[in-house]
Amino acid sequence: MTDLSPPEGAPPRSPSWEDIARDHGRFLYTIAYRLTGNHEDAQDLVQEVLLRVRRGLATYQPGSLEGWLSRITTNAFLDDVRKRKRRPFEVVPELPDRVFGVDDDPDEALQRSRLPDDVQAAIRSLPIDFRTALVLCDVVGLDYAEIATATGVPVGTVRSRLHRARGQLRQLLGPMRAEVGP
Amino acid sequence: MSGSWDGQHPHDLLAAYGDGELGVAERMAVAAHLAGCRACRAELSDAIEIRALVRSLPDIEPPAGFYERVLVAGPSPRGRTHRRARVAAVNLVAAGALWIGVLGVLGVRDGTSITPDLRSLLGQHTTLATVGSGAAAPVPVAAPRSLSGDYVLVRAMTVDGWPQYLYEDAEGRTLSVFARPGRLREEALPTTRRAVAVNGVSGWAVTIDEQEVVFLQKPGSVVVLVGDDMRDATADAAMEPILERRDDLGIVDQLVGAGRALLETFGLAA
Repeated sequence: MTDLSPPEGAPPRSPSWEDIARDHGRFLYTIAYRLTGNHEDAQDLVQEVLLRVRRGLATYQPGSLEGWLSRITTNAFLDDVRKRKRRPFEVVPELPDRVFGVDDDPDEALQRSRLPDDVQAAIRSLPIDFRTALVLCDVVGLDYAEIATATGVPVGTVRSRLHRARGQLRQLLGPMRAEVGP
Repeated sequence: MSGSWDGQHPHDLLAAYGDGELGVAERMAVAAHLAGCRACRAELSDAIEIRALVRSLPDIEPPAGFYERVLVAGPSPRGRTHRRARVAAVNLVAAGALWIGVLGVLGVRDGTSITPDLRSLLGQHTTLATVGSGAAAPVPVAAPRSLSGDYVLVRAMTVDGWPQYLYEDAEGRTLSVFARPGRLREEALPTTRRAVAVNGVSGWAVTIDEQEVVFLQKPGSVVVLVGDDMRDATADAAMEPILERRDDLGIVDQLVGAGRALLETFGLAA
């Protein structure tokens, strides 16, 4: 995970959009990509976040750059989802069709079924709320209280969404294991 | 105990348990349940496995040169990332003319021609264009349409060799104005098209993917105005059946024609 801590001894300050792009660009891009699931939308989302930072639309709280940036990104993402609700975000996932031969080793087959692209495709197939909670928790590394703040829901809802998100991922990625089992 | 217990099983609490996010009482209750419930232990094990899988995903590298371009040009509003745009020298006269045109379109009602106060608007816009992007106060525009807002010119560019102007409001909504050589195939427009006139030039407003687009026919060129949310692919696809391209003119003549259409359409020729 990208370290967003300010340099030791450096006074906290509100980062500029150029700071974000220059110093935390990879971190921001990773969140954007995991949320949107493709490079085109990720680039749009990153630019939207930088625009919001440039306009000072989000108040920076010194010491919580990860949470602050995640909150802006989440808000921008969810705003876009609401604006583009016609887009098929919740379609059946486009997981690769894989048929394993009878001689395949089950462990190797399972390993192959969980390549990063497969996992990303499964994440993208999750409902927006589940996906957002999952990305904030397991990609960004926020705790539940921070996720609740970023998404504007109670902590209990975060618990539920995370559990269901992981359960759905398990279902999406799991059948491959079942196919090769005895 | 909270409502997160589903019957006898603490399903919704298992992720929080695995993440160490439960208070003492809930943690002890879940632990006691797990000791005697094989199904919940398996569910927890699966959740932990999935968590590890997601957390092991690598960071994503942005496309080469992405941030370098953003740092040079500034962040762009949504949907503009993939425009193959080169920032051109700003033609203040043309930019001023277009701003007037934008105001004209924003204020126009179907089938009605509007003549804005050219002198004062031009003065305002020349100042904006001189100061540069984002540095000046936006011009308030009250209009009945979805395109209404407080817009400033943020960029003059060429896209695939053709002039294009982007306007933006404080919320990041954009208005894009551009010209293409060719003739408007009115018969190919949707039947829901609405007649409009901008500065005396007749044209059509259509709704494509919930987005309003205005087409104006000038001799040899079509002037197009689109609002926020219109992506390149959608706009290109929409243009394809509507625009009858001209192959009888050289590229320079087409460019000059498109530029002249923009100028004439927005009334600065005089």
